[in-house]
Amino acid sequence: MELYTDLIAVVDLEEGEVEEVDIEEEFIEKNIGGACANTALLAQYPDAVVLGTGVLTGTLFPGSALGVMTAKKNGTVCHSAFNWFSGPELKLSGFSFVVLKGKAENPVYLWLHDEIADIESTDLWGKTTWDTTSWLREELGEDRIQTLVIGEGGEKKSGAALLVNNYWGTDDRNGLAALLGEKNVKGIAMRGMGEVEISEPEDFISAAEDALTGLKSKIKKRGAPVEGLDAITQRADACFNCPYACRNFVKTGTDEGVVIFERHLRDLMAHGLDVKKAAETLQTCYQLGVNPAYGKDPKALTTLGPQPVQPLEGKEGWYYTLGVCPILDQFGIDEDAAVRAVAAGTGLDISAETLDDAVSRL
Amino acid sequence: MTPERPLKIALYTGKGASHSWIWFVDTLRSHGIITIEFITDVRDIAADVLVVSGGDPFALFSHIGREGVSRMRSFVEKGGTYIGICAGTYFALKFHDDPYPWLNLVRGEISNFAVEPPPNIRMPHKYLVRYRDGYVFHPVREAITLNYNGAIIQAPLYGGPGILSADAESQASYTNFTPKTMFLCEKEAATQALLGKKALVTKKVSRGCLYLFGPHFEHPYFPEANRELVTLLSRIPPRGYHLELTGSPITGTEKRTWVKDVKRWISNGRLAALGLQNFQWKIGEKMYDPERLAYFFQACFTLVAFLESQQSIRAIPDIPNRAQTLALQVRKLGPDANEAEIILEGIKTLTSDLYSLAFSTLQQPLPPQRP
Repeated sequence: MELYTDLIAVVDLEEGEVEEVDIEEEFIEKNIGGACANTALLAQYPDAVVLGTGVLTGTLFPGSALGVMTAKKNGTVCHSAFNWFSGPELKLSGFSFVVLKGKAENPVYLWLHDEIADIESTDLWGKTTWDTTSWLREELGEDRIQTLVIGEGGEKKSGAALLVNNYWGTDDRNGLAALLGEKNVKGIAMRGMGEVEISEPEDFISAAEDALTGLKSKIKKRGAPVEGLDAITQRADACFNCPYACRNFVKTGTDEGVVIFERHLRDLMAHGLDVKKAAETLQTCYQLGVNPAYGKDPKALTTLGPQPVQPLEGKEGWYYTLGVCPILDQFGIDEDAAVRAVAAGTGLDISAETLDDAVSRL
Repeated sequence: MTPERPLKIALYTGKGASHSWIWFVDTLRSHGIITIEFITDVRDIAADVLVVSGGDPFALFSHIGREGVSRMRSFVEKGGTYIGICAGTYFALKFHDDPYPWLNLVRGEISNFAVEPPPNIRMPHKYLVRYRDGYVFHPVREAITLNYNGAIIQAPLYGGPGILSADAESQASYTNFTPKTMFLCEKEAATQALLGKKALVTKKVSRGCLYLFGPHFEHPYFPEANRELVTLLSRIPPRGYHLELTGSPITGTEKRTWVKDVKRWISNGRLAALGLQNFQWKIGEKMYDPERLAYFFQACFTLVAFLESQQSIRAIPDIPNRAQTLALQVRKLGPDANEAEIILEGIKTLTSDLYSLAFSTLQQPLPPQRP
């Protein structure tokens, strides 16, 4: 299937088995990808946590770093996003979607590489997200491995649990890290050496170029626009193939620092912390795998009770389906170019209406 | 009546062999030649052609010893064809008054031997190899232009010699550099060392024959040179050697499980090899780096993908375990050259076994068709 690697991994944690399911064209035609496709898979596997990539994730289309985690929380289907390099890495590992069903008897991590999904038992439970990522990279022998891991927050099924990508927080606004904790899944390690086919490469690249040119003409800044943040920023980084380097790296010690996710920093500042203290606290939040939206004491957040579902807002469903980061929405991304890229890339008859129809089902 | 057997090629992949034998195999495979036996023991060569490709002739000799050399000589004298490429050419050339006890079947000076070689300007680890009272130096790397029997072609040079004179017939000479030629010494010195010198010589010895290549005609990016190599091979008359199929046939679930297990650990090994720090290991007289290990794992990965695509394949039961052992070793590999050598030899054996299985799979009799 063009724009996707071929497989869905259906991981039965209870049995310790993995079934590889081919991605059918009809499935993509109907559900496009990302949040929409995840929701369709969740209908098939209601107790599962689904990780999925958008139709454009990991491609030349600008901002195509997004992956989506979907599960039911209090009976409501909800989504959390992850980006940086983990979306593309998931797709290029050979699995465009991963369904985690059941519960492992003992803690495990999942290792996705070259169309192989290995369930490995682990004694990483109790480790910080930072130690977990470092251990996985050391154990598996490759520093470019991307991880999605949980910390104490996820292990304790906290309402403030936060999924962490490598060392930094994701937009896990629904605390789906806690569901990984419930399933005894400490983390997911991914390394992608795969490739995606493109149905009509020239048209696809032309659409991606149009979108990029449009964005570049409008992006005039680097880093998050938070007062006082520039003064403590060492550098600004971007996720995979994104023209907007929105992530400030702030040094918090001689050899340490934290990559800022703007909303998390603003949440801590709203709790009364100054920007420097907020950055330092954010580092601890990420190490423990907790979301500062709910308070400024990271340790206390590891045992927070259930929190309400945070639905997708505005155009987020559209971005979550394409696999493009919604932060680019502020720059007025060329939506027509995105639809052209999807159609040219997949070779399917997908129009703006088809896409809107799929997104409306979210 | 037994149909005529095709040319059988014995390819040396043991100690001293670098990764360039993979180029040789892939090039032949792309021209439909798959009757290749991968050997590490040269004592009983049952083939029409023996190929010794790039690598380290010192390590080769330390592995096969005087007895191995004697068996190689005997192979040629009894009608076999020896093809030396780069290191395999040095091994067969007697270019010093006091030569090491290598094959030494072709007498000839080489233009890149000197007691005081020209100053090196880049890649010092690739430039010099000590030989007796002097050095074999490598003036250039990468593509160079050749006159091959009157035709102008390109092939890459990675340390092979320029041959000044030899008691052998010249088939190719170095004529010019290319925009891609990388100079390891000043261009003037490289010009003096290489241009106009012989790049390929051939000699009959008793009933057999030797072809000694400086450049790598087998490199997959040089289709013209590849074609000339294949044409040269096509002129060697087969002598009726039988090639045993490797492994046992498996199919269905057994095949899927075996392939999956091999793929799992080759994938792990490949990723770990690509993730290694920028180590350099001196193994024998040659420098190796992680890219070389990754190259073998990549070749294995491609072969596993081929086997995965076949319904019925040939398999060797212990390959998944061997692949697992290697992958776990690579994950822990550091700067220790001894550990690197163990892995290098292991992955070479695994690569040649997988090639054998792939080729045997292609040559195995088809299962009987149901009426």
